Amino acid sequence: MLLSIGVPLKVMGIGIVISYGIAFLIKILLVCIRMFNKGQKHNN
Amino acid sequence: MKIIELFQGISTMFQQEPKVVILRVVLIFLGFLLVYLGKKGTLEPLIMIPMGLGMSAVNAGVLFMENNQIANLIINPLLTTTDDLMKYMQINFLQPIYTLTFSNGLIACLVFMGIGILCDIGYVLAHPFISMTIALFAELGTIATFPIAKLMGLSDGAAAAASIIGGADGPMVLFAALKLAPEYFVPISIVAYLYLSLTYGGYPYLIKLLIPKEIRGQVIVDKKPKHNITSSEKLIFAVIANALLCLLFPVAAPLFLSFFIGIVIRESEISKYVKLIEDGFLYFATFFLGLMLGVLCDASTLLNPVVLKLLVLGIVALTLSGIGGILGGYVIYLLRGKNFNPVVGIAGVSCVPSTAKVAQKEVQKVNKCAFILDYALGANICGVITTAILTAIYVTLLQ
Repeated sequence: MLLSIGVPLKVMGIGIVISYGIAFLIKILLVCIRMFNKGQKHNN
Repeated sequence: MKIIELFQGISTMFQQEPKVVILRVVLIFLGFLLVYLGKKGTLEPLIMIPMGLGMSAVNAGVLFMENNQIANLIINPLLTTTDDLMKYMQINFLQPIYTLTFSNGLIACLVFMGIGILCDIGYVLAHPFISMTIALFAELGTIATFPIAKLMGLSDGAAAAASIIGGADGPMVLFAALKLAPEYFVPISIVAYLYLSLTYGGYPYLIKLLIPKEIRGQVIVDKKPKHNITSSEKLIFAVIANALLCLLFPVAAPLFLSFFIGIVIRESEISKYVKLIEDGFLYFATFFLGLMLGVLCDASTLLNPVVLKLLVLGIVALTLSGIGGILGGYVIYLLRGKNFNPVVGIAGVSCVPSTAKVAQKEVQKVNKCAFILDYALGANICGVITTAILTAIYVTLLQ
């Protein structure tokens, strides 16, 4: 039983890291894109 | 020649074991029932009508083939050798579709492309952490069902494939079963799709059971000003996320590519491709998926004792995921100082867009002014992404 819990726990652990990694990626991308757009507008 | 021998289906039917005959008759009538429930709208008609018809046809149309074996002229899912495959592709009506689109996962990818086209990723980009948290809670069934399946005696691969049912994502279940438990591919797919069409009817009761009426009608007030998510932002995210996820989990690269290509085409506004995928690929895949699942419900296949275990595991996985999703909804409700509606949690179970619609419908029954669909669709789409990630991790760890 204990051995069989190991696999899903590992899956969940890696899953949480990757999923929140994607959420962070979204935030960072949005900030970068908006900064880039602002800079371009400023230059124009 | 006796008159009964003229009607091969009847004469063959009664030369089988009594339990097979009984199950065949039950499945013929179950097929009728599925068509009826599909037509009535109780179950998903796009899947259930071809499935019901296929189920009754495959169990009625049995005949003696070579070596006195009882079979049908529709499909044989158990062929393995190249010679047999080539031979039966020219005999069985649906063998080419099964061999060339179903058993290699192509149909799952086509459905996933269609889901990508239908998904507005902007809902995820607007609230990434809320959506992701709910989606992760809604994976409770995908995680907690694994040890239960192991306790019931299933192998690691079969246990993982059965657990993926908790992700409530049909194409993902097909993909996981193909990769991890090809021997149970047929029963797992049938159980998954049967239950997925039932979640639509079952989850409203779960919502009513776990969320009091006064909280169900909660209106979500956005305190921060809303940023419009542009097409370019969605496109850049989809392109980067696709490359990143393929790099991390090459085993699930076909699924990631199919999903994100749908999103990228939608956001690039290539109308001809959008039409091709939405009206062509998606309906082609859904029609044949339903028909194929029906014709795979042959009595001799379903007599496998593992089917009963899968029926139990499927319902456990989907119930746990529903409970997990609502729990996630409550967590966000508390973290945001009660400015959230926990009903959104059910949408974390990624049955796009059914569970999001269920959530909005249940909220509007209590409060006609409450609109939660944007949060629900965000959680819904994140559910697809988290299920794909967890499937990829299971496959990587266990294959």
